[in-house]
Amino acid sequence: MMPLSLLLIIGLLVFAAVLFTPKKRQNNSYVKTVQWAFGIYIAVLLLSVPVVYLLPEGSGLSADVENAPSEFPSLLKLADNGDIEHTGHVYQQETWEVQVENQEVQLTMSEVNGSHARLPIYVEHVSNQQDMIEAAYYQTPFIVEGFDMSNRLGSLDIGFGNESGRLNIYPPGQTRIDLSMFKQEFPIAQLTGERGMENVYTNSDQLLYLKVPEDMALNYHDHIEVYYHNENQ
Amino acid sequence: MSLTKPSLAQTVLKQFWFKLKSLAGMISSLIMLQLIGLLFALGASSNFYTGSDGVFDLQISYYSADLVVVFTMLWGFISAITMKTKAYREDDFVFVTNRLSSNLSNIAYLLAASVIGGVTAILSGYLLKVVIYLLFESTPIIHTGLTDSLVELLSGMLAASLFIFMFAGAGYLVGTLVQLHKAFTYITPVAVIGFILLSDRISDGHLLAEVGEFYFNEASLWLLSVKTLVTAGLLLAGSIGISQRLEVKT
Repeated sequence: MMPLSLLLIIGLLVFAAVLFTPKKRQNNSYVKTVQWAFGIYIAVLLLSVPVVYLLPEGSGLSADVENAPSEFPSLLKLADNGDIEHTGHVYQQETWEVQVENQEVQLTMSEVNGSHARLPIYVEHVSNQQDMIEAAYYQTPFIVEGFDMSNRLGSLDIGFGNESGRLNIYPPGQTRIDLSMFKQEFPIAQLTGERGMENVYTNSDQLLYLKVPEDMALNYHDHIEVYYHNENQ
Repeated sequence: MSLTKPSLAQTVLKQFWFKLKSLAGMISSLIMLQLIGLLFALGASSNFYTGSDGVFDLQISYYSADLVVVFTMLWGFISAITMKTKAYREDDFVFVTNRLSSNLSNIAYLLAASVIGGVTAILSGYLLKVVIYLLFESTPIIHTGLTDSLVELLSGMLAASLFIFMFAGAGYLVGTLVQLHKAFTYITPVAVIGFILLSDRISDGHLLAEVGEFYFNEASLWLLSVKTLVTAGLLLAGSIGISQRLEVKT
């Protein structure tokens, strides 16, 4: 029924407009006034064209990521293939080294905005590492319409308490980003193909990579997403 | 008795120039409607995106002068109807003319008005950008929506003008029908809405959506021109055919 109500509204608008459109006048001064008004209107429109080209685009944002890939690799897949430290090195944001005395460590993750954060954790047990956990946080770029907004996203932090045997993970908080865009008018857009707002942004992938001693056991709650290296191999 | 025999083209041209000067009210209503459309366009439509990991909450405000173009199409439709009202029809009797030359000069005027409307509607997008940037928007603008070339801009203006002309043709036919008999004032909208509802029931598709796709999804300027001009031509030819049957001063 939406189109019917839309039709009715349009019909009412047309009827009202026809009823209230000024009747034709032969008054010469009115004609001259309209000519002046039209001339001024056209002048304002034409003046706005060069002004628009002088407006800065994306002021306050980092420069365009030219030739940026539209897709980034899945960090989880890179970790599975053992390639995270090589190919995924460009996406590494931060690293930590934590001295651990316990053989059992409790993993905890803070909530974000009152709900469980969905940050995947990839664990690799290594033999050449004693009493130390190496952690690395990877994040692929967050691209919005060619602008790299990665620096606007929050950062991750971790902390370890030897007494409690807890590795606390503090995921990045939710960042609110407000932007504006102008769309081309539809007669232009239908010819240029710049239609709807598809693929406006490229989602940022995140991963916390943990290298733990071979005999260390990790305990964690079910809501924490943990993957193990060579789990299914 | 005059010894000169004015040609149809000369008569149409004279009437056209006269109407161009005398129909100032339509130009003032064009300016008003476009400014109202710009006012509405200052309110952005927003899209919200939330990252799958809850890491970001992205709000993008979209601005566009689409409303101005739509209002201008509406103006074309309304103007064409009002051209067939008594106040405007009386002008034709200033000249020695016939219904054909009167209709042709009206069509020429509607074409000129459509071009003016299309050009100003597209240019209003630039005015919208300036107003929003300078007076309203405080968030970063990441896409200005500007055309890449003058050809694209001119193509857009031509497309807008063709749409307006097509709507003007529809309005002209409606105005002619009402001139034929006052009852068409009510019959026409009822018949149109009834036809749309009936066709929706009979077929799977939605008629309005399919008609809209036929015109507004056309990516080729050439095909778009053919579609809109043929449609407008048929509507206007129908108007001319109907008006030829009318009495002299109806």
